[in-house]
Amino acid sequence: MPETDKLQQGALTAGQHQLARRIEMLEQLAELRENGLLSEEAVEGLKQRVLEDEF
Amino acid sequence: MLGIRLPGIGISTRGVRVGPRMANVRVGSGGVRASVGPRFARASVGSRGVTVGSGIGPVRVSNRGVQLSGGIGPVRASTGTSGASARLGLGPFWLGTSGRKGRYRSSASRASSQSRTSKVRNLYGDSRARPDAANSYSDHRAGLAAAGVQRRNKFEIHDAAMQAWLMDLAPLVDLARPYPKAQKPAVPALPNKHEIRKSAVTDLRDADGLSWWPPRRTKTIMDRVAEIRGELRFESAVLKALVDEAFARFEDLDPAMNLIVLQASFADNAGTAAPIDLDGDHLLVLMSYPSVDDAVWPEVGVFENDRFTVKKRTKKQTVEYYQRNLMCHAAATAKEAFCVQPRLGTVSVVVVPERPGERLADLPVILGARFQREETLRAATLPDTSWVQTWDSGLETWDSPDDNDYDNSGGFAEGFMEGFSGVSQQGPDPRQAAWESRTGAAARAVSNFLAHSSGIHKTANDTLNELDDTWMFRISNKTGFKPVGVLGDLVPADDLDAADGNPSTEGVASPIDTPAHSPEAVYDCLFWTEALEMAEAWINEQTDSDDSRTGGTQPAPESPDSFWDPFVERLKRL
Repeated sequence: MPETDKLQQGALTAGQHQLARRIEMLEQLAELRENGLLSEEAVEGLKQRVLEDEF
Repeated sequence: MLGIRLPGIGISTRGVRVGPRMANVRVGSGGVRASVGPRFARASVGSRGVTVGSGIGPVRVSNRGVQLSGGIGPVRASTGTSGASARLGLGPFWLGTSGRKGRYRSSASRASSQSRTSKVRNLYGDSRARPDAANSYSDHRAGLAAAGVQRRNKFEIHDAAMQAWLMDLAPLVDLARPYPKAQKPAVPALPNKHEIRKSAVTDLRDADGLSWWPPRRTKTIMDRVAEIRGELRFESAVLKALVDEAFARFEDLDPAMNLIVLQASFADNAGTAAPIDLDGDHLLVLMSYPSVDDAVWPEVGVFENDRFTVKKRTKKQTVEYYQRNLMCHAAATAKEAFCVQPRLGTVSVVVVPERPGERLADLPVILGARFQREETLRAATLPDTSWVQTWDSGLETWDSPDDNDYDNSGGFAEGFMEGFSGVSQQGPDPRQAAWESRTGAAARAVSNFLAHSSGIHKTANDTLNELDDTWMFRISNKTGFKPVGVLGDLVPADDLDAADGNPSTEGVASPIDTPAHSPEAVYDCLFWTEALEMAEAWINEQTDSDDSRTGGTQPAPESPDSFWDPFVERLKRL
């Protein structure tokens, strides 16, 4: 495989991994909300921070 | 003033009088007792006194702290919110080592460390006296007899005298000392980059993901470091949000959260106290107390010329001290609650004797007290608190670790006694020097403390005698107090019976280690997240239960006056 393809593949994998992590974080927040442990407002604030790639 | 006279303290019998305010309380038509009772509580009396189960399965609040049962591990428990527990339950790894291990001991470690603590520590907990059958005078005497001691030597007499002195003073100190307000704990800082890098390398090595080629290896590690840092920041943010939520509920007088926090605060109290209901700003505390013989040392510790000695206490004095101590403990419990939760307006304390196995509703109430915030704090607050340090350091000295230098031979005292049991010593024994040193230091602390004792006595006197419409009791010359009524008069007997037969309250005599076993736990952010989970599960369970019984309607808060109506009416008739 050419070097550029390798780099693209690596970047794609990293991007997928990052996306998976964000989804996992959002799922955790959803569970916390569902369990009543966090308010809607608190979850929304954390969700925005996840979407803005703060973590 | 009518009343009992003690050295420096008088207990008036006005507690049995019914003041104007109580005389004018309205009689609720809607079944006061049915609704004011422990909406959240499931009380029972076990071998260790009053326990209160939440009725939600694995979680309960007992007089020994919040307890969790059922294979849920020594540190953290799921309360049914399995998703949150599973993911967040492990906690940030940077709290997993030093943070938890240091504070939360397993049952096994507790058992082993218990044996290393001296009798004084067992008696007084964290510098606060706990009358306990296990440490009663009769046990002390039996222990001496078992050791073949016919007559106490001067060291044993000195120790007994100091113990008696401490037991007499401790209830007054408990009442006069300040208690901290609950504070929202800060979320601990993230670990530094070196720790994160180390963790990243370990992760990658375990996963066989480390390349031998340096540039790729470095990049892989850096990527993993960034990932871990992101995860930690997320966990930290979630943790902060959970603590914020938990503390907000506490501040808003959420009953479940407040009962859990207050139970943790009471965990080291002298009287076994369980907060069982919060109705508006009215807290109801159920307290169990040992009998006269178990609660009062029948000797008086006399401090003269920097030395302690004992003198006999008469039966009458013993009973009077018992009355004073119990009232001080009840008032101290209320004071602590007021201090921990500044929004509490009234604290009612219901005291029952320690009678395991007896039907709860039939338990006699030996003392009732309804404390109002302002007047209680006014009477029970001593502006000068410099003596607290003196008291605590004195206890610390008395309970100094050199007791444990002789653990293999049964502790300092036993080892020391062995050395002086008639066998002539060649030269000065280092154990005597250690004993003298400890005793001398304790004596200096006692001398310093005595300079403040008048203020402490005044605080107790004011609290016991100057609070209007607070106390409900009948004096007995033998047992200290005659019953005012039974617990079933105040709390619905059906609820008590149901709690008594609740399997979830079994095993409370074997507490599993949880953060709430020490008041120190409330300074830990993980305590608050766990309390939040428990409170949420508790509320859900209670809501389901209420829905099935009442169609989802919540009874309106009842006044504290209404709660005490049955006793007030009875005392008025007497």
